[in-house]
Amino acid sequence: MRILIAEDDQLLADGLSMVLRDNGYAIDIAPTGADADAALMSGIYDLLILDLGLPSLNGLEILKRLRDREQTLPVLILTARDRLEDRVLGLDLGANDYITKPFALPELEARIRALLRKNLWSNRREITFGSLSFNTASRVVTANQQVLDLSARELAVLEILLQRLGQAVNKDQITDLVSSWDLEVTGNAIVIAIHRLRKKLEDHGITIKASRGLGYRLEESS
Amino acid sequence: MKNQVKSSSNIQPIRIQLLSSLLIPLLILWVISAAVAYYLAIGFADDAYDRELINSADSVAARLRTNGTKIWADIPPAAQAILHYNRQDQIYYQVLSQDGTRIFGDAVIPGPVTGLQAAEPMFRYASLEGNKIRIARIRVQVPDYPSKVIFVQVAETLHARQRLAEQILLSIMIPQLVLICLGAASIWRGITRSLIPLKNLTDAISKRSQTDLTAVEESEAPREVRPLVTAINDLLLRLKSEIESQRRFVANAAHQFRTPLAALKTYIYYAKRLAENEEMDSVLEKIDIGTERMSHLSNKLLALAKAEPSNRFDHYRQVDLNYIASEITASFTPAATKKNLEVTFSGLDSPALIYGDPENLAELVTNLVENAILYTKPGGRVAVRIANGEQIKLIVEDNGTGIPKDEREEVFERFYRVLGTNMPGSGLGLPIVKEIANSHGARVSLEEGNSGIGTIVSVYFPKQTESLANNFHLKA
Repeated sequence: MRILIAEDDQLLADGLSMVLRDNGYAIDIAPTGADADAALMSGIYDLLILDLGLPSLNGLEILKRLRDREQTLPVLILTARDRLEDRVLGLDLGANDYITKPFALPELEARIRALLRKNLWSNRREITFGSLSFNTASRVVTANQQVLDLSARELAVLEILLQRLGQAVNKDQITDLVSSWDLEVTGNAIVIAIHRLRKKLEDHGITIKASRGLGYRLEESS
Repeated sequence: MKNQVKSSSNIQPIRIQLLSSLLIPLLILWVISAAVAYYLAIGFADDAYDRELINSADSVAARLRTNGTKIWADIPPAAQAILHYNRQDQIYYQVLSQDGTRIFGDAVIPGPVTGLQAAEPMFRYASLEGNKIRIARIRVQVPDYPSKVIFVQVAETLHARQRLAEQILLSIMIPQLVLICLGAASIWRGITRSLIPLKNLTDAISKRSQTDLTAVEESEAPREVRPLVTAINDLLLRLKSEIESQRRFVANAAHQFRTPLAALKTYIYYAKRLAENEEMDSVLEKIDIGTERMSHLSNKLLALAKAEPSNRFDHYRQVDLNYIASEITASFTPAATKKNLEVTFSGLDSPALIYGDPENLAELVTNLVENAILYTKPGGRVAVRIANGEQIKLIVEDNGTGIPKDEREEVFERFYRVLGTNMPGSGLGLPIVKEIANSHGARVSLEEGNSGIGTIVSVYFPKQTESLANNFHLKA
């Protein structure tokens, strides 16, 4: 899952990206409003974390442009301003949530999960596929009541496949979703991750099927 | 705390200044006018008495007798006595020959005798035995006498003339002096009366609270004082904008802290994840507590800046204190439960309407409940109540450590901490409460709890009335 952090304070942006990458998200940082606006036009992000006080183009303007382009990704506003009017204005312009600096990290993580769950999983807490079960809140994968030990990248790939059950996702799409600007994931890395996932899933009756030209999808092995 | 302006400077009060600049020239003029009047009065007196002196000389001339060689005056002794002593003055007479030598009469009239050719009566001053005298001389034709012409000289002392001159002088000078005194008195009264608006202005300014920086009413001041009032208002305006910029500075500073604090907290959180031993964990925990305290402090600074008077009234509206207090109290239930405290709220059945800024009021309740929870030991209780009466009362009561009696004033000062309470407070909680209460026209009182344990903080809010609302808007 790919998240854009639009934040001009590099220290905070770096810290956030470290924590969130550790959670298995792909993170890009846009230090100015213009950068953020340009990056968002690519349409590859699942979530935008938006600071309102950005240089060159302020956060509310970015939000307005985003919604004018009919992009529906969830937006979490991150700001030092905390007057009621600021919060109301941000939410009215199409933000989905609001968190005031300084914030508690577990709360930020929970809000990000909640936003993504709503958008990607339609608010379902539990996704099941055969013997596989994925908790959208804790992001823990179990198979036959057994917790699977997955790396951050394996989890990211599995999440993408679970979000698109029934349809094939090609390697480039997966690469885009797990990469970020400064962390280019190669197609090979994806192939390796899928290989490992297959191994971990095969005992539980699940396989990842590759169809030429279409990509990968989850299937129950008969 | 009112500073009395030292009156030791050498600037005289306006009243004295005005009066002296008026009175001194008037008195000088009065003295000059006395001199002039005296001079003129002497002239009048001379005119009048000189005529009488001529009459006396004529009387002497009428009594002259001659037998062809000798000449004498036939003046009976009684007439002589009258002639010699007339009222206050001594009178002398003599008859002189054509060349000015005395033929008979009083020898005491001093010479020299000049201008014997003139036909008109002659007058001069002379001195006799230390007294000034006036001498009149007439020329008398005596056809029977060999020289045909003789002179009669009559002299008198000046007492009557001086009396007359003095009377004329006094009759002019006394009314003038009375006029000057009456004028001075009425000017004094007039100045005093016209200084009343100035005194009212002084009272109005000195009665103000330090937070009231609204303009002084200009229309009530006399025109001469208006520039001063304008200057004061100008200063107030500048002061207001200075305070406003100070407040903004604090608010901005508090804001600026937030982003680096957020970054710090992020790294601490990440470091905790990476930490591999307990020691590292505990170090990170301490850093986390410190950071948490800093964010708490910056939040409180911001709340204080928001509560300060220059920021009032922008967000004022009718609010239900019942609702605000119950919401805020409810939000503290997790913290209270964690500390094993019992938190209760009892409100009014009807809305407790006051006029105010809902965010600031929420901040006020937050600080009171926060303090109560912070300073109450596990197992204690915190009660929040709303009571109705002449005013709407918000009461927060706890059975915690309490505040010593002699510190109940100081706790409202910024950054003051009660000694011996090793609690992570910011020292800004009660100052924020006070600021917010002040800006809502509310009063805060601090007492010890029932049976001397704990603290009861009561905030008395004025009930929302139309006039109060208008008043607030006017001030804003």
